[in-house]
Amino acid sequence: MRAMMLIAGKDLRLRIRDRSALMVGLVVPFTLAVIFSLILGNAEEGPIELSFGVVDADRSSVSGELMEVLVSLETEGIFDLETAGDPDAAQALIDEGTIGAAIVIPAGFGEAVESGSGTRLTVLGHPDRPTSSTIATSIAETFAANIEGVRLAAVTAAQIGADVGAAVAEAQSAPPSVSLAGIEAANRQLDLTTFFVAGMAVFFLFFTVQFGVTSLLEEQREGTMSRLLAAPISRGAIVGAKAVVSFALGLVSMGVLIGVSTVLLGAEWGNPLGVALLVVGGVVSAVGIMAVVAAFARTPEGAGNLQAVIAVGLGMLGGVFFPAPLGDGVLAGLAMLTPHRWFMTGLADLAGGGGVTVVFPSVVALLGFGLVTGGLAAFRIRRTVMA
Amino acid sequence: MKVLAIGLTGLRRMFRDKSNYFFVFVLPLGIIVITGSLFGSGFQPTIGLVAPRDGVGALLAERLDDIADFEVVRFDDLDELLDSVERSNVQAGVVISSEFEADLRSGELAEVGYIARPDSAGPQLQAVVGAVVTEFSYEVNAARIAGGELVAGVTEASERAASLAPIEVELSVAGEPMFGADLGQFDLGASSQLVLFMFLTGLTGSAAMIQSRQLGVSRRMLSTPTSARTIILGETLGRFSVVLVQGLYIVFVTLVAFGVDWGDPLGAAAIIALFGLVASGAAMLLGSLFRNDQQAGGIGVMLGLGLAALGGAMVPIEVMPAGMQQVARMTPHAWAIDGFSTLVRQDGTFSDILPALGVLALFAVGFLSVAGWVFRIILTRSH
Repeated sequence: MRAMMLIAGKDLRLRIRDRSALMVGLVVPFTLAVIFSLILGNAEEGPIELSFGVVDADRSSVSGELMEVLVSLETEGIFDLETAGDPDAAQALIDEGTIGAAIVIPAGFGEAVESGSGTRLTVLGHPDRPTSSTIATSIAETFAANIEGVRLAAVTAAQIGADVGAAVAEAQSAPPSVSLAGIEAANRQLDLTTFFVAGMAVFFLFFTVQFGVTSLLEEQREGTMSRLLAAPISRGAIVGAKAVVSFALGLVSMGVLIGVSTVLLGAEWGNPLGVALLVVGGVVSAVGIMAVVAAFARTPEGAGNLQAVIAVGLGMLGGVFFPAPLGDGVLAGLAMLTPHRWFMTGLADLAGGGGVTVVFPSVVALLGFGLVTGGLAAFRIRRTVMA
Repeated sequence: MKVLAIGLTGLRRMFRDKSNYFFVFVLPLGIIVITGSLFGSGFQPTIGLVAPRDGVGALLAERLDDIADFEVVRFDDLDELLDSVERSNVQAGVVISSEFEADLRSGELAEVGYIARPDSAGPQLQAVVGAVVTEFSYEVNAARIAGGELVAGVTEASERAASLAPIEVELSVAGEPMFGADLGQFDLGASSQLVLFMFLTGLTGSAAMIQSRQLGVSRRMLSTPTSARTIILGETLGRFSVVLVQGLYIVFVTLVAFGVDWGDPLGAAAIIALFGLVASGAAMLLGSLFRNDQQAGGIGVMLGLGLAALGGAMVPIEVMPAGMQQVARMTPHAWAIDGFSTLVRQDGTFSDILPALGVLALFAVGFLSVAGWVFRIILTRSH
């Protein structure tokens, strides 16, 4: 035990002297996270600010009803409403970005509706704001559906010889038979700043921990390994010391990044105990995976190169660079094979509230990655590096 | 001649390291494929749907399926859908429960569940689903007036509704789209990834320069009848060839595999050559300033990714906050991307991108001369 701590202490001092670990573990991930959240500063997904325009060229009682619907939606705070004099004015407002889309009620609209003939509402939109166009279209369509629904009731009643007037009155006044009822959902995703800090932290974690496990190969090359083996130190203690170094570097870098990002960037990591469990799980998985690569490499350089490939590859597949949902296709399936994804998913679950238990599946997965690869590494190292 | 030999050694060393095959050839391609499939197809809201497979509920589900502006994805149960909405894999969810039909038959209000996260586009998308539900509600109403079987009645009512004089809603979209309408799925991403990886590969490759110095190779070269000038030019050529291999590979593969449009060949070649010189200059500078190749590697990754992000290679400059757009203009990346976008989006030619080329040339001259000066000092100092 004492020997293990001595070796670990020596290695840690080496890592602190040589500033690479500081660079890779703290400076680089933090700087990149700051840059990423700066460039995406106003892309934060939130309640979309909608504003629509309306042009009433009809000024009939029917168009008045549609205006009433729009004004009441504005009063409810669903969107802002601007009235424009004519379609060109509305299009100008759209082009300058004041409104997202506009509904144009043409002259003669009311007359057409009253006489039961066909007519048309026009929605003006912009190619960059498809959501606004879609919503404005839906509002117009709902209004049209109400008129068409009443007409349908009249035609149906006439066909079976029932009282048309009663059917129309019924359709106009009766509550709808089908309606939408809201179901609230929690928000289980990270805000952009936290996403990037966490993504960069776990991405560079895999580089930070490699300093510990890979030094086994350095000891071997420099001939110090055979001296250690000749000393009254168990093999387990030597491997253990290297693992301890990796753990310590990983835990410290994650801890500092979490602390600094919370204070300086306002990152919201969530329930501290849950975060701590995820960090431990993440570090275990990183140490295990980097150790198994080191165990199968012949030189420290070879190990370093392969570790970089694995770390970058897993990070790319794990989606730490893209704050976009991976959906449920092939990409999402591949992502589940990376510890990065489980770490981020665990944090997102914490962001949705619900206490520490929500991270358990992620933590189990992370520990699974770490223990399987770590076990394999320990087995292999005893037979090669220490043979 | 010696310059060429030194330069080619740099290129050969890149290929000697097997992991570079991944970083130079596999990684850029992977990133282009992933970003292309995540963002390239444009944002289309997805709605998750839980609905019965038959009966009246299935009829309503069909209507929702037909909404043109959404993609509708089916889920097996409410929990799965809720989970997906909360993780933002879908923007909203619609639930038609198994009691839906029974409620309709008994004349009670039949509710359709609508799930949205409070902070997303979900609440607004409700209007779209609402329009469909309203229409459906009137068809149920008509089926009741007509009497008879409900499913058949609703189907009949919707046919009858289609024969009435319609009140159409026409969408007329006008205006200049930010990214052009005929842009391929990978077109925008490819030039961004090109500048990102040319610069990144250049910087991370500069570790080789540091190793040459650590091993004393550079000083031994100097002791032969080789001038410092030759060595500097040779190293620069080495960096440039590495960067150029990276760039030409990306252009070639995206052209062949994804049919990416690179625009006017002369213009594209000029941007790649000048940006390659900028990246080589930056690599020379990094390789001269650092003594520890591991530190230089870390800094190289940070600068490579950081400058690319600032320069609009990760997020288009157009969507950045105003202040950051100013910062972006200070990076060579932004000018190269600007040049490509003129070539591709506006079908520009060589003369249209002269301003961008001029700025890139200034960057190249600046970086290369400072790097050459620093490298000469390092090379010839006495220890």
